[in-house]
Amino acid sequence: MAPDTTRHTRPSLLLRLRQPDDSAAWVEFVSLYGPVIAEWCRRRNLQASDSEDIIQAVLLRLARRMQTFSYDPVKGTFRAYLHTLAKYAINDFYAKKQERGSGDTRVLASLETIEARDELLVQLDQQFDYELLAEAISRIQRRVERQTWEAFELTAMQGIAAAEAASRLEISIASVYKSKSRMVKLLREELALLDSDSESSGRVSRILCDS
Amino acid sequence: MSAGSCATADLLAQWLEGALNPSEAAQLDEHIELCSCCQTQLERLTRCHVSAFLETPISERWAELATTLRQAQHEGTATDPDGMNSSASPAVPKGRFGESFPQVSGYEVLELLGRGGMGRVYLARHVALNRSVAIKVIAPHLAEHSQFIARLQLEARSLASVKHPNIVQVFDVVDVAGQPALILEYVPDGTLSSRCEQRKLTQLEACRIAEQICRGVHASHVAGIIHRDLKPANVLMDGMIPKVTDFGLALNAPSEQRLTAPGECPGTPEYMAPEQIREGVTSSSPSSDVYSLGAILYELLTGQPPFVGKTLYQTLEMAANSPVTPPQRHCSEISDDLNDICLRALNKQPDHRFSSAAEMADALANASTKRRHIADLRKRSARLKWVMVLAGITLVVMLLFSLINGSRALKDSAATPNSPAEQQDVLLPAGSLWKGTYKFLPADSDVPDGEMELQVDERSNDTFKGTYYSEQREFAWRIEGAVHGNELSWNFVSAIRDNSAGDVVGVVRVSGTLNGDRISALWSQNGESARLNFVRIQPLQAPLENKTVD
Repeated sequence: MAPDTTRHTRPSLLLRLRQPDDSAAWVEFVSLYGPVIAEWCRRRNLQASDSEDIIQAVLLRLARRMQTFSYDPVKGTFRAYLHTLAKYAINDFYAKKQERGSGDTRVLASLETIEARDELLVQLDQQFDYELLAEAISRIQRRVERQTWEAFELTAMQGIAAAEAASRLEISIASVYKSKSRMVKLLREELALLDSDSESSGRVSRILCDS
Repeated sequence: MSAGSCATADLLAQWLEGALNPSEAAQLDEHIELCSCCQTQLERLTRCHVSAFLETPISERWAELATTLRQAQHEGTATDPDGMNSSASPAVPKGRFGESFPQVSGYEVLELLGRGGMGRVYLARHVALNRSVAIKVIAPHLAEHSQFIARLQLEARSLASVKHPNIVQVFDVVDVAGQPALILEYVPDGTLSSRCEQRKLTQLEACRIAEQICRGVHASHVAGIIHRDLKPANVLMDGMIPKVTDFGLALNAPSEQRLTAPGECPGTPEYMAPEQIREGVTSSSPSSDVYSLGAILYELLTGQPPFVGKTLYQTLEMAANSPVTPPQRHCSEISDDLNDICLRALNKQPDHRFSSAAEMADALANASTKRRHIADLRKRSARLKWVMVLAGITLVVMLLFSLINGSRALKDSAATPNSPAEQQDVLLPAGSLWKGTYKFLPADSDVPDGEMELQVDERSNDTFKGTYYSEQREFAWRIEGAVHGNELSWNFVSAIRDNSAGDVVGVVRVSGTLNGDRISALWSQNGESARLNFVRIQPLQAPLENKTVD
């Protein structure tokens, strides 16, 4: 199933959440990160009803930190920014959670460990690969010609064969490959720029372009 | 390079980078257009699986959460989510873990009571009236269908016009950030299903609760509303008073909407009528509600619904095709009346069920909850008559034996050390066995006669202790009584085997007269009476033993 073109030309989800009317972004945001938190809860052996509340609480903190915490390239890479964002959001969640303590101690106990906190951060970090890629693509798209972009979009993002793409765009197959190649190069460069973490650096590139 | 042969990967890579001289590049341009082998190589050189990477599976399960979050984000304090820098702006109500609550003007949302297929239910306080209410916020993915909303409002309006003590009242329909929400009566003591989990209901309790549920459902039928999703989880309890809620609105949703995550069951199959299963919820009628009422009664009495399969499909299949196991088979103390009511309501043919919920309620009001040990049930009368005839014959035979051997027994009584002195002038001797029949009064009562046995275990001057057996010695009780002259009486002291949960112990009194080998007595219980007639028989082995001696 081909993904909707328009979706991927926008910047990362977390940034889109700042727009008041982008309801689709919220659905994607929740669909993307909800399962991560859900899995985290499941590994802590929480009941479904408890984990639903927790998912909501964490997502809320994540989204709300977005409002106040803006990305400044001078201060660090996008990846680092996302990581800090998540860390703050998790802190918020734990801080508020401790305030309650109204008999849900059994539930909270399993979340209290440092191990649990770290694990959540790690899981979210991994999911941030998505954000990184979306942001990278969005940036390079702004910098290339329309035709170059479209050739890349049809082949790499929609998975359409080069010959077919060429006929749709009414250009040569050779042009398609050239455009695609150029975009992949730009993408790699952009990802390197955004992704500073020594562990993950290059990970997204590798996943993308290795078979 | 000629047009026929293929380029190497290196060459192609250079070409991609624009590192070839113009004429070489132009040649390759043309070649590539026609050469699938080169194209394959180029595919490999430029591979990039973005599509797989970026595909986010959008799931409806998260759609509701997304809307809640978006609402919380924009209605709440945007820059100060946790109220750390407290200011004039009020904090968004928070749940246990700091998740957000909806904001409804005029109400203070206090806590989340639960989640259903339709949406979440919150406890709230109506600020002006200082009254507790329940607010049910409809799940957003349901709310997106304007058809559904229209029907919801129509049903809410109809429901609001029904005021019945056994229906949860609808006070209002409001808007919560674009989603409809119902303001309902708050019923404090949980659901019927959670009540049943706490302890098993007695038959009487089950009967009364079921009757009230029926009356409530009937009231809604009269107002033109069919519930479609009756089940114990949809009956709230106010003490012991049931109140029906959640009037099948979820099942009125457009069919293309999924109410639950893939793999979960949309309705509750255990309580669904066969015609609903076969033809879908559009075939619902008051009669299918009656079926569900029967299923609820069944569960209240036996602890489980009539059909329980290992899978959803299995349950539905059983409900549609298998005959229902009578409740009495699960629990022998269930009365015939209640058994019959269940079976009738659970009939697979809608026409054979009660014609209305009110008819079922009336049946429940008049139902007996007792399965009296000596009350012969009409169904068993045929078998019993046969047994009685046999007993009668046996009795006659035994009487003959005792008559024949009676004189010998008299001669031998002194010589036989085994049997206790059985002189005819000791009334109600220890070790004696009496067989009897009972007959309910008034004499023309349609309850057929039955039989029982009385065994005297101990005997002193004016008291005795014994055992009372119901027919076929199915049940037994210890009795203690008194004998004065030829007047006797006894009480039931404790049960040895009993199905009536202490029905006779301490409640029944028997009194009568002794006349040689006969007892004629009266049984009194809760205003009912029966005449008992016993005849003394020898324990079977004794007369035969005596006989051989001679």
